Amino acid sequence: MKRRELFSITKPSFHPHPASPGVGRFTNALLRTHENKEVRFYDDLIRGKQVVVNFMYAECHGACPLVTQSLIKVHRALKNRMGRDLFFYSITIKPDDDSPAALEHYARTRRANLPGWSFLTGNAFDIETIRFRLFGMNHPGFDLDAAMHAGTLRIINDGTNCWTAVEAFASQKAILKHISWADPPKSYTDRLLESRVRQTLIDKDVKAYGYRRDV
Amino acid sequence: MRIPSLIICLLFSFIPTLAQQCQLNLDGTWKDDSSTKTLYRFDAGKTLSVIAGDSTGPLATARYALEESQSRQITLTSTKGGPILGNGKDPVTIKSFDDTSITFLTADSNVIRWTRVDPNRYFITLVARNGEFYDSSGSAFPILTRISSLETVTDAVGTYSDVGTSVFGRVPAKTYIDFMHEPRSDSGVMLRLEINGAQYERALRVLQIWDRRVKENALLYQYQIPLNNIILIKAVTETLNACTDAIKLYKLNYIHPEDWISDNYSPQFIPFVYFSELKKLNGARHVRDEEFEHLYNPSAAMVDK
Repeated sequence: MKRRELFSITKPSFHPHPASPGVGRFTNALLRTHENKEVRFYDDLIRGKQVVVNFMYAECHGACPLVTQSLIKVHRALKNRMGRDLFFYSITIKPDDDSPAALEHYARTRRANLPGWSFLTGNAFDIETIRFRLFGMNHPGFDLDAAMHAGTLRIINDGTNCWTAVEAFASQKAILKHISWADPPKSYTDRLLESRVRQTLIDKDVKAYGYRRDV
Repeated sequence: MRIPSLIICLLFSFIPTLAQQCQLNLDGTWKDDSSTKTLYRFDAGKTLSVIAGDSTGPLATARYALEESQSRQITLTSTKGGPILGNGKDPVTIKSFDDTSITFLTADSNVIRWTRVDPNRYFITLVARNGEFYDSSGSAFPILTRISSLETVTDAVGTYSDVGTSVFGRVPAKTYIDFMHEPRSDSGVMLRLEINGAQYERALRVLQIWDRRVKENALLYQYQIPLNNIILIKAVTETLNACTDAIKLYKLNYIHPEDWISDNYSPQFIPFVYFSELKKLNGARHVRDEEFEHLYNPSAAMVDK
């Protein structure tokens, strides 16, 4: 085996931020993926990782497929990171109806069975707890209506303890920007390099238009 | 409202809310409305038995299978005696049902109505007080009581006072026993309603789920504890109407201006005002202390779960 291959199969290690709320907030509920694999919500899915979570159900023919399509586009834009340091989780709000097989069928027919993207089911008690813990707005009027939560993408980076959210129907650019807000901090060299690229664009704009456009 | 927001609302408008549906439960004993002596018993082992009031064994038995496709149908296969429902060959359609009755339509177009027979009596008591805690709010919880000839079983979950401190969880017997009598001042409210077995089971299920949430540290609101009690009391009261409009409900839906309670009160005061409103709406059905006390056996209720 070549050294390069050895590095490529090494799984990245995920470390939660010291201030991460951990199991106490996320719960460690036992869920099942669309591949019928048992997972613990915090330990296996959230701990130290950057994730995008949304709610859906397999027999939903209105909003859920549209949100899924939107996420497919985002996945395409971030494909180099997906399954490495960024993960998508689509959790069913109808766990009694949606078996792993039903979710697998949904993922396959929507072409969403992509790396780093898990469709999750479990028991109704745990899923309701997760829904309130991740999407709760401290307002029973909103929170009891699952539709309110299904229209939102929750973005969490447990490694930096950063939480943000974006409307599920926002533009791809807006979703990507929100995800980037939760990105892990970049190294000094990377930031310097990015700044140089930006400065070049600004210089170009100033030369061409006399002012700085949006870069 | 912006157009994108409107589109999102329309798209998500058919995501089902997780409200309880009226579920068909055949298990138990039934009597035919047209005959007083014959009883019918569905058991979990998929057997339907016919029992006459004065006989020791079943007069007839049949194995049954419930099909829940477009219309609910029961297929019966006689194992003893003659046909029980219909002609014994064709499936019998369940025309309608609620918590206490079921109406069948046989293949030869006969309509048969059965009513559930339940020797137990069930009560729900909604109680709340003001002025117990530092912010002058107080305890608020539903109490469920099942009274049989052998025992009285009581369950209560909600916000209660533990030496002046607000606690959310299963209410100890020594606390709820103090709430079983009608309040003598305006700082307390009580509404006691007689309910049926199915309503009791549904409401008990809600209490059990919340008891589990407390024990497993799985409260829906970790920091705004009074909001948990609002969801609990809303679920318990609304579950009573899952099959029929059994009680007059106030819509605690947080929609302005329809829901004036959540509009005007902080979360910790909402249960008190909500129970007061339900008392106003259902006062005529309130079971007074005098009627309840001759049924209730406090010593049995003191057995704390």
